[in-house]
Amino acid sequence: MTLSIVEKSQAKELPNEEAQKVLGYSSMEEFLKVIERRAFHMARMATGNNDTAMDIVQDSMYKLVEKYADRTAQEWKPLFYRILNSKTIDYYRRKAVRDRVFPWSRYTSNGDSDQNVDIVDLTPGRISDTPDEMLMRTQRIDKLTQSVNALPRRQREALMLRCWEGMSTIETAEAMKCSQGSVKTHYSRAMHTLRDLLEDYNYD
Amino acid sequence: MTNQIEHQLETALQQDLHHLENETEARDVFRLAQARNRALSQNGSSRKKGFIPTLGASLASILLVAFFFFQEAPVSLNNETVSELNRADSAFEFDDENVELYEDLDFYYWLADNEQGATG
Repeated sequence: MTLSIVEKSQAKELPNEEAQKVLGYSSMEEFLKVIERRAFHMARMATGNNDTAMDIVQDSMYKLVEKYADRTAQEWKPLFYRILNSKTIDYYRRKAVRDRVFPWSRYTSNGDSDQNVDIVDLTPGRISDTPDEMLMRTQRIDKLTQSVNALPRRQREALMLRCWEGMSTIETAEAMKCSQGSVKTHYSRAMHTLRDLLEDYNYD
Repeated sequence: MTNQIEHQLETALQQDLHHLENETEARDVFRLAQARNRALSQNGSSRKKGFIPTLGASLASILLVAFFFFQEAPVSLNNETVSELNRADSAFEFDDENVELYEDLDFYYWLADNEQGATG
């Protein structure tokens, strides 16, 4: 697998200190720390299940470390998201087969089980808003999650990588294995659809 | 106008998504840290570790099969030798002189009886 476009755009390998300054990470551990939560939420939005999302992220981390640890730090992000996307597709395929073979499984395996959940575990990592703000934001995020889930897969990938991860069109194209034109099209359509779905979304 | 609305929406989405990321549940943060450590602790030789016993088992199987195969071969050779010997024996038994001897056996019995009758 080559990252010709990325390599062209970032012609030379950044030394550790410079990579730390530009990318925010220089070692694999730092990179995974930076990316893991976002990747987890992306996978959760795509699958609708915490445990499945965790498995997908873990598998992606394993594969990245196993196969691509020797690559330059600039290459890790597109590679990681490519792996994450392909693992998510694998999940959809397995689920489609399972739903065909065991039709009743779709009624039992959706969503997360709330059994045996310690309330302390549900404590958010940081509380910085007032209760009203938190409630409003929670409602907005729920609606956003539903709307993102309603997007076609490629549009959702483009939205996640461009809007959330802040990747360039070039990097997104590498991660999605498609042309830059396709990325722009997917992203534009995703934004149009979201604008319609989130009419009452309070973003003024 | 449309671009401005899209830009506002994009900014709001970014804020909310980053907020969602920062508000990850403690349980999930812990599990992610575990997953990260596990991924980092693999030394890249997990496949090599499994490769050596697999290769050893395969070679042992091949050697075992080869051993039994070559064990089988002398037995079949012995059988052939035995059958050849049998054939040689029967050839000896049924060569021309012996066949004539058996054909004349009745005559010799008759002659012996006659001689006994003459002397007796």
